[in-house]
Amino acid sequence: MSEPLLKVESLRVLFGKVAALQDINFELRAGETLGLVGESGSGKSTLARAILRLTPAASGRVLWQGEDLLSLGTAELRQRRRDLQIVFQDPLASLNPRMSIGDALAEPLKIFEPTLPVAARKTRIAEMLDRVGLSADMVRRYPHEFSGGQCQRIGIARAMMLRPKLLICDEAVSSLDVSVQGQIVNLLADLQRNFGMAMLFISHNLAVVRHLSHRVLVIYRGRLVEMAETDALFAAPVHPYTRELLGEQVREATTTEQVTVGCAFQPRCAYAQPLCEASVPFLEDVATGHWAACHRWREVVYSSQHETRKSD
Amino acid sequence: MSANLHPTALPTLAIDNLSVRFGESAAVRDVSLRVEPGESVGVVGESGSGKTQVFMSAMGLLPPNARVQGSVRFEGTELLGVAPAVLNRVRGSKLTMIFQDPMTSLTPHLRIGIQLAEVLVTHSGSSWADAERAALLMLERVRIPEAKRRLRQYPHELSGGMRQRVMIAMSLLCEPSLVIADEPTTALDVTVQAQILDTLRIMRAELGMGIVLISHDMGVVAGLADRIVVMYAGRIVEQGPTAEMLRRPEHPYTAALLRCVPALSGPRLERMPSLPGQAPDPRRADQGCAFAPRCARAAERCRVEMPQLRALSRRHEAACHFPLSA
Repeated sequence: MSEPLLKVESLRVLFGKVAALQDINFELRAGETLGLVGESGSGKSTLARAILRLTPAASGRVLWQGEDLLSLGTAELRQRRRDLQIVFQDPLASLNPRMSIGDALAEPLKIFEPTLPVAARKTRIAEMLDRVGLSADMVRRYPHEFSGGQCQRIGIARAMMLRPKLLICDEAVSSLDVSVQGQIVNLLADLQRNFGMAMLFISHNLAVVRHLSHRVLVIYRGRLVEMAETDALFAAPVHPYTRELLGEQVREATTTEQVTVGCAFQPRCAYAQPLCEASVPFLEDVATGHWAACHRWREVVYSSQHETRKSD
Repeated sequence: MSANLHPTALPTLAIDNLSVRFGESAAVRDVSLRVEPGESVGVVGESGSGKTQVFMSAMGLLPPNARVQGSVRFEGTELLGVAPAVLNRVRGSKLTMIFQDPMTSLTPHLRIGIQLAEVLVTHSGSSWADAERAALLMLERVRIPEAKRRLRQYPHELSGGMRQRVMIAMSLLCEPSLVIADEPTTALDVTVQAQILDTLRIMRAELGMGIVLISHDMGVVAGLADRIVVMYAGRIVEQGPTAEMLRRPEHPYTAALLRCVPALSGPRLERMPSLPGQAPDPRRADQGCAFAPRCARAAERCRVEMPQLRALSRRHEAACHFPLSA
């Protein structure tokens, strides 16, 4: 297998004394879509921001094509960033209300390709607008004149102007109507087919993640708890938290206190045992290409197979 | 269903020929709607469809530049154009509303207990001590863990799901006849969404109040509503019993919305189902069917003649010249 595009190693992010992320290890290959799911406060967005160095990491490495982004100087980092772009949840808030659509799309080109002649720049903008399903004559209009779905298309066009190798989508379809969500998801898939960029697709909407992702990471309270190929994860989830996300009965937590030792999911977990209170589980191989961080994963797998047989 | 059990009872909410305009834009166009006692109605539509504005007008919460016509009666009392004092006898006690964002619905610098008790002190004239006791009971009923401790906490100390349960508790304190829930789960995580809908379902079973559940997602309302009303471009385009609406939608727009609910199981599709095109301009003139430009079944007639809501079976109505069963 080729060298991964992005390799995150032992990444840790602290907010004061609280660890927002710890022991984050994963790889993203060129052209791959990696889904990232978890509840609010789990650290999904912090992970995106830490990769882009929008939030400082306490320790660990973010290897981009083999080079650690966390150790780069400001000027070098800025050069690398043209390859790593992000689309945010609120499409209107991520566009400057006083900047026309044409100016918003021209900005990345002016910064990274300052020698590009004006005519060529205009052509690139018109082409990209066309690619994202908008018309080229919209360049003189302003963000407030567009609907939420159209603003998100503009945000995506802006992120794609420099043909990045990685597009991070942080809840990029979450604030859109269901009827429009599908349009934007299909657009992202089309862009990937055309430009071949990798995507880190962050969402709490599991059905959308399932549709778009090759592999899925599940994050809970700042730690990765499961990682697998999409079909394997949805067909046979192993971690009790993933199983809950996928519709298993939700249990009320026995305590709402933050867990400081042991497995963070243990107060809610049907499989919890004293071991789970005492030590943090690390990601283990549970099948080919499938990892879960659960002391009791064998019991979970056994009992779910047993259940299936009963219901057959 | 309650509507059949009490055929002669006064509807809880009776909306007749309601129109809401903002300058050139028509947000709500001639909407008539009934909510019977104890009934749960799901109102579904895209953003801009007018679904929220219909109920904001009932609550007297429209901005001052809104021009409102028609009638909204709550248990027989007209709510449109009445003095705030009259409105305040009803809203917040017998007619309550829960919003999408539970953080901005609570006052950040007041303890949960005070905010809950205040409702009873204001509306029922309870003493603060009685009101706090009632607040505690209600927090327990909506299954907030460690309810007693929550009373002394501030909104920021609670999770989003817990804040939304506080809002539900608050909306139920005065034993309302009707609770309007506007996208109550949209801002919440998947697992919490299910819990909040469960809480609403359980509280309705225990207290018997009516519910209006507003959402852009058919999947959300399907589990709770007895009846579904679909709005498009300010108008009701279809309404009927939930099971029938899900199994045999008549309006092509309803069918498209149903297709858009993404699945967690079954084969993964090449393309995610979506509705092509844009929602219509709210300034557009009332001519023809507003959905025609996005409709695969549209014919010349749809562009010139506006379809009226008509009954296709006993309790199922659609506003379409070419309903799917035809």
